[in-house]
Amino acid sequence: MRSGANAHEFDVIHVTNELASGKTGGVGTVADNLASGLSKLGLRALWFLVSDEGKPKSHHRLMGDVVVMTGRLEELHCYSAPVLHIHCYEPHEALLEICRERPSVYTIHSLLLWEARSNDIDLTPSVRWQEQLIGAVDRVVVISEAECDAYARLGYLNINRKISVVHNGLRSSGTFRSPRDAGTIGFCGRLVPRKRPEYPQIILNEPGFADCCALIAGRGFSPYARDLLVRENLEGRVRYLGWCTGSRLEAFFDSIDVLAVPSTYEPFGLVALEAMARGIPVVCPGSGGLVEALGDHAFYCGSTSFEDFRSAMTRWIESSRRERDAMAQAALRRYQERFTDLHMARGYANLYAQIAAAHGASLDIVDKTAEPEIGEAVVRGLKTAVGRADLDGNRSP
Amino acid sequence: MIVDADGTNVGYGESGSAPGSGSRITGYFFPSDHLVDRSAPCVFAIAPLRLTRDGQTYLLRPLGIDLRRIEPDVYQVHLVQDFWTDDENTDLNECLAGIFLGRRRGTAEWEAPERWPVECRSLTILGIVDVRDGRFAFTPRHGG
Repeated sequence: MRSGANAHEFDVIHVTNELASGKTGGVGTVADNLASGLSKLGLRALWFLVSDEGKPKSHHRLMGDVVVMTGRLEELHCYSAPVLHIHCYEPHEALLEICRERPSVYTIHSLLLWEARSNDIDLTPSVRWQEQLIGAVDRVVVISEAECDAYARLGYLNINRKISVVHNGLRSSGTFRSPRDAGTIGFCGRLVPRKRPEYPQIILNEPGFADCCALIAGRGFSPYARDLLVRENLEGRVRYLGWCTGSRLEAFFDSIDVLAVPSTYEPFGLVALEAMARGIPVVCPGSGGLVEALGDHAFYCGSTSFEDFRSAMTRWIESSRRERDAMAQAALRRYQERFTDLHMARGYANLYAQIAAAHGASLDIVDKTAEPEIGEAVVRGLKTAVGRADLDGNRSP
Repeated sequence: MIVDADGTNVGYGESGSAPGSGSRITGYFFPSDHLVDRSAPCVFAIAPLRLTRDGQTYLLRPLGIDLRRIEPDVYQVHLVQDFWTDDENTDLNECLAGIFLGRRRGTAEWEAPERWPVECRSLTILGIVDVRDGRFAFTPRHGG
């Protein structure tokens, strides 16, 4: 933490379109967990929520020990920090200029060109803006190695070669419960084409799934979804829950036996991580960021086709409780060892320090949570050293 | 347009744009009554509603729509499942509902709430509201 910092000085300023409250997608969840992790590292962060509608006068409010401000980008100049951390996906021309002038890192939570292609929609203005932003910042962060490859395939290395991978992380939340039965299929996410929300519904009419039902949590009901329910005679077996947050989202996770993530494009798959932390088996394609998150601990589809999804779902429903439990326990360990909010925060804190140093500033990071770990390691090292000394002593004449 | 009880519900589509403006709560509406509130003739007031279908119950909080804020025309009044408001209700058998005013397009086709950018699910059509010539009239779907 910056000593003697006043109300306008921070270690890092996050610029974002959404926070955990009132979020419209996964970025709000990442922001929530990053705020948690950075707080554990003792970093003083301002979360600046961009509001074009903006209030005439900016204001602060506190969420726990996190400082949040809503305002127009023009108000950013009132606040200083060695690094700006950009999370925005909505085009803001003014932000490009700000990033050219101030040390900045931009996390690409999703490559908009891939979003456009996978959802078959035109996002040209947003894509162009994202490309300009990539060129304006000191450093680009992507959230998986797979996304790094996608970045390169799009030719973006020609725009900015300074790229790092920082995986998303999740603070410990929810209740781990395993093994789970094999009855309720869950889907959680925006109901957009690339996420294939129809797959966990259509599967209900396949052999072996007659006793199953589906819970769908997410935004964006469509004429296609409406017609699908009628055409497949699924009314009563599929429940759309709307936009679940907080305790309702937890109730959703507690109610499902498997999480289906049949996305054709998933930069990381934070929802899969949420499932891992709760003991919920995941069925998903064996590609993209999902594999980095889940490792060997998922029921993978050979491709993004429905036939391969059905095959993976069949392996899940035919698995024993013991198999599902073993997978869930291993997934939990993987989450705890690699993908907590603190792992994510440490990754970013290192980047902040590098960027600050490159601009002649410094950033003191006090990782209090690491102290016990380091202490134990030191103790182990001392014991080893003492043991060796004893051995050496025994050998000495 | 979709509005909810706090009068500020605006959703966001894939590209993040808002589907429509909100309205303020100024009164209650009971479906069996005539819709125009005598004390506030510009307010389309709707009482709490509860609809159960296929094991799910949809709950509409009381709301009022200031009809001066919408374009003069004839609208279908849909009760819709609200896909935009953050819901923290732990009872997964209960869902939030809202009101969607679908404008007539051409002679036969009406705007559907499922379409972008609203993307909410129509549960039933409550009736027709006519907002023309500075007067407001509601015709319940089943004469109720």
